[in-house]
Amino acid sequence: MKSKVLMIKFQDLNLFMESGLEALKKGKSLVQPVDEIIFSDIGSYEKLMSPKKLHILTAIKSLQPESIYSLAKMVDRDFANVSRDCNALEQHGFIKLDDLGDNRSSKKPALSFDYDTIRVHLPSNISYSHMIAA
Amino acid sequence: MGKAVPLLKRRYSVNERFTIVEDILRIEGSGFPGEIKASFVLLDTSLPKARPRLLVDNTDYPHEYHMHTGLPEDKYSKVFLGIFDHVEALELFYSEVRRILNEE
Repeated sequence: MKSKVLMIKFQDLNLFMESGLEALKKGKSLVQPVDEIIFSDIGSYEKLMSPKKLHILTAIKSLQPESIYSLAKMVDRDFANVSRDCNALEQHGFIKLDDLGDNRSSKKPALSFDYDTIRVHLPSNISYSHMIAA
Repeated sequence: MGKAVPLLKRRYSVNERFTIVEDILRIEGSGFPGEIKASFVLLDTSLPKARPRLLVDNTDYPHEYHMHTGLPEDKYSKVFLGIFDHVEALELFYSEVRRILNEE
């Protein structure tokens, strides 16, 4: 079965801003593919993607928790820390958090799309991957 | 209202703390100036639930671009920018993002 890959790419902040303005001025549309996340540099990506966050992604993929509370139990970590990590992963586009609509504002974590590999494309054309499937 | 066509839809991780989210749609018959609805957000993981630190958009009538300056505490305070053009609004958003990044 073909693996579904989330690609991490890198682009300088100035180039990111210039490319958006240039596209708009030329009347071209610029829509980022859903399987792509852009960081400014590899250091920022590696600071964000700690082993604990990779563990969270693996647990979401393989165990499909119903809430952040169940996810925290699955990874055997404190709820507050897992919740903070989930918010960061959502902000950067790795996961989505769907409101469960209960009176505790619980959220169900899910991958942003059904990927099983994160492939980091370094500017030197070298890449490495994190497998997140169980 | 007609179909919404994305002109710009991007997310960019500036660093482990800040993320830029850009969304520009052309919506036929929407009543927006040039039929363009846009929002530009700077998210900050250091805020609870990764709430917006900065938001520029034209969602409210009369669809003049405005900047939410009191985020994250005050969702209602906004400064109207005297701009109805999405490119100009994006340029202004970028300059404000640069100011925030330089201050942090």
